[in-house]
Amino acid sequence: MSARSEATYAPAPAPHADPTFGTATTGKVGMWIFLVTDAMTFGGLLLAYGILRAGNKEWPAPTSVLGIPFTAVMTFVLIVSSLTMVLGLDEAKKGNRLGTVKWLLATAGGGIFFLCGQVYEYRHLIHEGFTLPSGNFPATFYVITSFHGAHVFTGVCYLILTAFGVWRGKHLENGANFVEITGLFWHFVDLVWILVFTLVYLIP
Amino acid sequence: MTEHAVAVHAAPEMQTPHADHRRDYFRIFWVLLALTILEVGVSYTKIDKRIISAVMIALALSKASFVGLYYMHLKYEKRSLLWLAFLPLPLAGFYAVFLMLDAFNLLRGVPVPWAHL
Repeated sequence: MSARSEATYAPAPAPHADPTFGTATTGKVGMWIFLVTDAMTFGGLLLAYGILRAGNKEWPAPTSVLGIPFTAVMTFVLIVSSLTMVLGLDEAKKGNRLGTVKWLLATAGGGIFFLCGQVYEYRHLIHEGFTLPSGNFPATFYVITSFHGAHVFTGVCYLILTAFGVWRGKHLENGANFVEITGLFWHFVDLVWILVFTLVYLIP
Repeated sequence: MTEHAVAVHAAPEMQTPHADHRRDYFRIFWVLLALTILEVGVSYTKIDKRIISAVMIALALSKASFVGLYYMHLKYEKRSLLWLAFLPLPLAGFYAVFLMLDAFNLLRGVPVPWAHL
């Protein structure tokens, strides 16, 4: 049996501790710095949404325009995908290659479901006349949600590439650091959606 | 500082997610699910909008914190990484507050206090 066909590898050793960042690798610290800057971009967009909304007394109640139950299901799927991501990381830490691939692909599946839901939602809203140039609400709505959708798409590609690498026997070394960094990006996508869902869809 | 000294110094903080955190992961999942259901439920109530907004923002920030601390493992990292992630947020908040004050005053036609500067 070749090494690649074995389902379980030896648990990967944890990386050495650094006086400043502990066991966090440069890759992980780099991803955190990127996520903070990305959060600033989302923050700017949400701030613009808040200012435009607060300055417009005719702003419609989001619940009267957007399909909340449908989006709640999409939110649920994204939360489930965060759970599958951490379960994948758990398997990666144990050195279980096939288990890691399974959970990573399940996570990517959640992301694909979310993207399909977003396309369906956009088609429905555009059919109802809720188009990008039809007002500040639709303009900010589409910019924020599509920017987030681009992150989900990137995350799905990232997850599939990581799963492919793990399947080929890579990425489990150094405490499965690569899988953990992939997970950081995916959880950030989930975290941002939690805020977008509340601020854009739910606040009356 | 020698490598050995570094390792000894870092030992109490080396609770990386290598340990079995599965129970925590499931617990956080149920908390996130419950808070989401609560949020959606609150959005359909007829309470004062300001109260609903405040409750929802608090719920959303709680959920985001749970994701950051447990799923992104900030709870198990060294403090310096926690600072790296959270230190810019108050700065962004400071910027946001002044930008919003400025914007609201402009929207109402009121000159901003620092306009003469």
